[in-house]
Amino acid sequence: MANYAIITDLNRCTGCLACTVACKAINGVDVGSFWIKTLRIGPNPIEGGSGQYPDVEMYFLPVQCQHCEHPECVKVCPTEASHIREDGTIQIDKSKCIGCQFCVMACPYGVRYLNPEERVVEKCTLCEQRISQGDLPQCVQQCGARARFFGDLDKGVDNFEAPAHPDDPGTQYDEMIKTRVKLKDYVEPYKPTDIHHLKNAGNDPKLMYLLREGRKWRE
Amino acid sequence: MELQWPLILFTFFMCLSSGILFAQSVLALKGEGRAFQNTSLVASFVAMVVGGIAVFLHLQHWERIFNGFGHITSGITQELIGVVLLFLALLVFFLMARRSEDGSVPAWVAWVGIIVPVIMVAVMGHSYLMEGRPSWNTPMLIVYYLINAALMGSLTVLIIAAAKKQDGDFELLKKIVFISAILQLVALAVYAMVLGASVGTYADHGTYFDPTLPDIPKVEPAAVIGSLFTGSCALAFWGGAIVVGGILPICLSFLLNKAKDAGKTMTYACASLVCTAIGGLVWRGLLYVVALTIFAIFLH
Ligand code: SF4
Ligand code: SF4
Repeated sequence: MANYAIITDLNRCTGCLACTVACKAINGVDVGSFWIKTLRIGPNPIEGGSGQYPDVEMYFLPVQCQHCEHPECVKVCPTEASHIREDGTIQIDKSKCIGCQFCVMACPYGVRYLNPEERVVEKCTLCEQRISQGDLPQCVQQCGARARFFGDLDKGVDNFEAPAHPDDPGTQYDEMIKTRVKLKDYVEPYKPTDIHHLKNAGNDPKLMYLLREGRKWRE
Repeated sequence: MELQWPLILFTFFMCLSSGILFAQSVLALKGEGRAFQNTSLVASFVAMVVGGIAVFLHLQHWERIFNGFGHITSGITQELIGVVLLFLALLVFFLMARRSEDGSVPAWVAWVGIIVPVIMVAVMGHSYLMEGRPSWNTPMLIVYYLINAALMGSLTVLIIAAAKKQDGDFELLKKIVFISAILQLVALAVYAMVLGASVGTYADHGTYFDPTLPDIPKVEPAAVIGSLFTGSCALAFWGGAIVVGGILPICLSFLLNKAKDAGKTMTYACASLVCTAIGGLVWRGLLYVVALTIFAIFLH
């Protein structure tokens, strides 16, 4: 049906944490738990530099469930509570989850945790409740630097979408979030080799990170 | 990762349960040990039940297992099948022994009692082989469990024999104990080397910062794994896993092989089992300490 994913342009991401906060607000994620975190990678010495400031570089890395192509969490789940939805996202049917936490152990990125109240595991749903209605995931919609784009991998990453900033000073929020721009048309030019994934442990993460030549992707 | 005691106890008691049936079946194949085989079968069953209860404590909603448990690619499903097979192997042994007048079992029953525990333990180890956790993702985990099971099971059967005042020499079982004790130390050493060599397989981000955990120090896989050998876990590793769990069982098993009467057999086998058990629990616990994911910096 589809194969949804997100790409984050790390040359644009300013580490404002809007995605982290917006996700908590819309999904009711408890204090102390996170479905997406914005990590700062660096400052690290630039290769061939003096090893001292100003020869350093860094980027911000928003990390959430990577909605993997071959998700280990789904493989190890004994009840099929963790499953691949037809739209390519990885979801947890909480009513089936027995809380064995094998998925927590098997995920290479540590993005799952046991919700202590419901005693079931949870993680990023890619805002299933929103994307099934044609909306964007909240982290994409609220991205402070317009660095995050959402779309269907089957239609190509160039066509991933985000709401545009209003050119018109009077544009209201409700109108603004209905606008759409495409990754390719909106961000600075990129090459296929500028697109990275988190370290692969056989799970083939689908979420992508754009970090252009000149800044070292670290994994 | 934090220590998951229910899982640690599950793997411990399943090794014990499987090992006892294995050792008793080895005796059965030689036509020995009939006087106490029922005690061994009960001991194996009790260990299985204790392990089963332990693992249930790990489940947050065990009542939901009736909602569709059984996804076959899951290690838990495979373990459950293994436990059922182990129970059936115990049952068949018990029933076949009862049917015969002298308590003997046909050779095929003994072979089932040897092979099924091996499968059970291997499947159990396999369920922890996860590519995302390099410290577990090694066949050495399975090798260690198999040897540990053979050692604990053979020692338990020797203790049962001694408790029943069976003076037989049980040469073969004592040899299995001695050889497995040596192999266990070798397996521990190889596993430790595998852990040491796995340091390079983790994602390396250099300096990083998690704004949600400003007071948590950077996770350094090399330091976490190194803590086994020279850091905060060194006492547990060298003292608990290697000396108490690895070296002492070899020395005690050597003396056990020299023991001629039930009294001495009892003393050395008990001491060796206690040491093996302590070492086994410590090592299982340490494997959680070093169980980082390849991307170890997203912490809850
Ligand atoms: S990132 Fe982890 S939780 Fe998400 S699909 Fe991949 S393995 Fe599963
Ligand atoms: S904790 Fe729930 S979702 Fe995770 S593997 Fe167990 S049953 Fe499946």
